[in-house]
Amino acid sequence: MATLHLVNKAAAWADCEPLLGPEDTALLIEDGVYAALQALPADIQLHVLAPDVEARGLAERLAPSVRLASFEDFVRLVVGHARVLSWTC
Amino acid sequence: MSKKILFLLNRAPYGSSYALEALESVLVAAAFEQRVSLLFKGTGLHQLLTGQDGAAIGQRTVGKVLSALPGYGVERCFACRPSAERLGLAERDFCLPVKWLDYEGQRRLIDDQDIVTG
Amino acid sequence: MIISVAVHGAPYASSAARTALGFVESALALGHRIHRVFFYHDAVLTAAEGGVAPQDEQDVQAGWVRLQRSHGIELALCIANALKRGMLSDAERRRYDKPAATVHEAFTIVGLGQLVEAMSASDRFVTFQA
Repeated sequence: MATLHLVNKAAAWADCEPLLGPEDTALLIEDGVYAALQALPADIQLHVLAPDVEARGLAERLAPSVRLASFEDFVRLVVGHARVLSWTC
Repeated sequence: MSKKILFLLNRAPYGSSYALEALESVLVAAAFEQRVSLLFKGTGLHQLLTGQDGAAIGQRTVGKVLSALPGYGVERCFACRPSAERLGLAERDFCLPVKWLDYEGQRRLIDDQDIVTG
Repeated sequence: MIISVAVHGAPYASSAARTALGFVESALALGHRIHRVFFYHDAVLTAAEGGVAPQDEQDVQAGWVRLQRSHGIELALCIANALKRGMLSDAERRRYDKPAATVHEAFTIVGLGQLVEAMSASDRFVTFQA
């Protein structure tokens, strides 16, 4: 069963990305949301935590494939994956 | 209940207390008979270097704690080959035998776990 | 589902305790059970008694205390990490003959075995890094 990858620093994305399996999902939180400004592969299931995006002025700058997640969505993602891997650096 | 727990160790051994404090939780998880694995990545690989002496800066020696792990039943130690190549590290630099994993091997290791933590 | 959470990041130097609080509040709202919140590394400082939060900022500790009161959630501090950072309950203050307790009463000081117990007893375990 798939893994939910939490990324809380943009620089940690480089560690996370090679380990994303085809069924996995990435959720960018805190300063990890800046990683969504880079050009990212389109086939990644990518979510960003909405309050962290709003606080940083990024809402209008995200690619259309990036999905905004509320805290309740965050909980649903945790429940819907077998495990959570939390990346930082 | 015994669970498969993977500790992802990606922090340098001495610049902060993260490495040593994480190893304390590794030891307790092993003592409580969880199936513990360790994955060293990035600068976390520097925890494995031989010849460390934490006393030089008034700290415990991380390499010594790691060398003791097999005695506590922690025998599944994995190292990220791509990060070791980037950092110019090889197994002869290490104080503990490790199994090398490329990204595919790391994905399989993660998929096999109940819990992954730091 | 039964969920446990580990918080690793210091208050103010990181967002870990604030993000974890938002997650736990929503997990409870969705009907999940929070088995334990385990504060590790510098996150034990989240329990500092007597902090005065700026009026125009969220008081993260007050949020945790509210959840402890309303839902009986266990807010656990790692004893080894707490003691060396000066975080003492009244019992620890006496044991080590220190002048004052420094941990808010909503938090409890526990051994590392409780971290492993939380992992073992929960369906999901989420770590909030520094």
